[in-house]
Amino acid sequence: MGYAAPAMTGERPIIRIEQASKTFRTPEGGRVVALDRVSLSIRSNEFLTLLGPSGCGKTTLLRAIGGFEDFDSGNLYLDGESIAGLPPYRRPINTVFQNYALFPHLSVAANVGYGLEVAGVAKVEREARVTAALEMVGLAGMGGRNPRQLSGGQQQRVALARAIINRPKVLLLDEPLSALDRQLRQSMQIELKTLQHELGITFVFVTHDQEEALTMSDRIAVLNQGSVHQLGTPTEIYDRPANRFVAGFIGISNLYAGRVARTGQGIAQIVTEQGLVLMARSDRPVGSTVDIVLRPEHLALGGAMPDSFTIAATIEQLVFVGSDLHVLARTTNGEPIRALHRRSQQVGLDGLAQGQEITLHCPISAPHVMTADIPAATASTMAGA
Amino acid sequence: MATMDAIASPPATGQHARRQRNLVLMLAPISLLLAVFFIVPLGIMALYSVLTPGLYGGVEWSFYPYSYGRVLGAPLGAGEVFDPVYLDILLRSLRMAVMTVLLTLLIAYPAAFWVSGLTPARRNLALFLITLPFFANLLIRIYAWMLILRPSGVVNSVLKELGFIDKPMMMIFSEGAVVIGLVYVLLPFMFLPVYASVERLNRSLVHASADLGATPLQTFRRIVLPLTLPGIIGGSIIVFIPALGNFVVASLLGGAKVLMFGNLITQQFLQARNWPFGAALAMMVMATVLVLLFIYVFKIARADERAAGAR
Repeated sequence: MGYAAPAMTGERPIIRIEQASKTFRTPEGGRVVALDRVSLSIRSNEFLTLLGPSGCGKTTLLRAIGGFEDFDSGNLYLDGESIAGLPPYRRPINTVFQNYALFPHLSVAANVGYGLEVAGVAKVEREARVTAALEMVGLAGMGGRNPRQLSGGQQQRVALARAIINRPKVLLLDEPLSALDRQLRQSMQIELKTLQHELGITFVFVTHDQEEALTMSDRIAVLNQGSVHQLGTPTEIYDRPANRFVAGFIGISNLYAGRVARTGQGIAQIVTEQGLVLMARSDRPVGSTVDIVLRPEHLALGGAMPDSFTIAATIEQLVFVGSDLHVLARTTNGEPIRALHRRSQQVGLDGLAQGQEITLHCPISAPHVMTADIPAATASTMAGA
Repeated sequence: MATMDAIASPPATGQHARRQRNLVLMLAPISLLLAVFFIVPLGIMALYSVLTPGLYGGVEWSFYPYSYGRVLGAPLGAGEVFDPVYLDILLRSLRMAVMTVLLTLLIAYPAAFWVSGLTPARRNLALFLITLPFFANLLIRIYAWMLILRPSGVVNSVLKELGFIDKPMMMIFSEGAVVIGLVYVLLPFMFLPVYASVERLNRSLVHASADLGATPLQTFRRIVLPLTLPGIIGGSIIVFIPALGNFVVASLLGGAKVLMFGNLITQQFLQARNWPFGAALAMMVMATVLVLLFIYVFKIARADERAAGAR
């Protein structure tokens, strides 16, 4: 896999999960498979995100690394040593919990210093390190406050300071930004990434927000129904999704199921179920069934390009999102198609209108061909917007 | 500024007055109840405790501080004799009340954790079972304990049958028997407040503590105990007070041997017919409880402050 490693990321795995399975019993007597033979290597000093919809097993995986859950079967190694069955307090791993879990009866400073205190670190050193940690997360001078007096964003920072003060080998973050408003969330994303670089600690981040995952991660593991569908860098995952689920979950995409009709010179002509004809770079044999993902930003409304093909469509709806215009259209074959139009300098909607017939130009290199998935139940055409 | 106030205040005052009136209306029934059935009788007791005992019960309306003297040693007069036995009984009652608090806490605290971990349906069943004894009369329940503890009772016959003992142990009519009875009667009063605070305890705090490297014992001491302390304090207070004043359990399971302060007071009113002395004893018990409570609450508040502030 063509992974471009940032300077600090080592190739040595800090955490290795082998064939991990976990099944939960529901109160009604049913069984839910949370993890199904998951194998995953987390490199030291990387920012890895476990991404997936709720119930995909990402939180179970995180809890198992933290020591709050045991696998039914499988192995878990930290730095080459098995840590399965080791209680949480014996693992050099700390967690930022989703609801922060700050101790309400302790001051901010006592919360942050808790890990050092139970480890028996002397008071003088403890105070110095608490001050430094609070400074690091931008809460200098707030040590005397009670956590309840702080805003959500500040509480989040306390939780972060508390978790990094022990200098863990791995920091686990369980959807820590989900309770914050959008603006704050975006600035925290950048801060977290910066902090991770400064600290040189492996971050394992759990989220269901694909945008968050793309922004922060060195690598993303996309999970669904208890298994890892794809592991790769954000660009790999976005540009070359492994299957229909990943393509639908990450970003906005046009997803079609089709068959290879003709091939030649490394280019395949693919006909979708509705009869839409697409061209793509692929060496799959004629007759094979495939899924195709086509990103809206690759579809241009005007101007012929070399090595491209055209799709005729009718505009059904126009969605204005500031810099861009989302063009929701339907091809002459009846397939829905979505294009992203970057607005030019002029005022208005660039002369586009509902019901207008348009020609979309698509470079042959743009469509990504994937092995056809089990029925399309797991992903809708417009998922993940 | 003055004109602004003049404009702004009339509606605010109207609203304020309305709120005040509502508050008075809402609090009126309980205030009335407390005044008639609590403050007035208490006042009568306080007054009687410093009046001269009547020859056949009742009181004579002249100042007479010597009832207190019999217990405390001074002032003495008019034939009253200081007898240290009353202080002994007070101390014994305190000791047994403290024992009762400790034992009920020891039983209720772990049970509260167990119950709060059950599924909702089972939890409700457990809570129902814990309050079930209230459905039977107290005297009958204490009589049942007499049957269990007496020489020919259940415990002794079983132990004898199994060959552990030759002759029956004398379990009833002892301090131990009274404490057992008190624990049995007062256990739900400890359980419910303790359970309420355990139930409220956020389990993710326990996880966070373990995650930060605290051993289970450290987590208990630093997180679980401080956060469930309000329930423990509440339970201790509402067990301690009735335990100290209880006389039914002591007279049935303690017999003539284990006299508690409550029995003493009952005797003064019903048998000795020395109302002022009974009233004085009641006042002293109340004073003791109040003093102990103040010390307790004060210390807890201090400890809380220290925990919140200094660290």
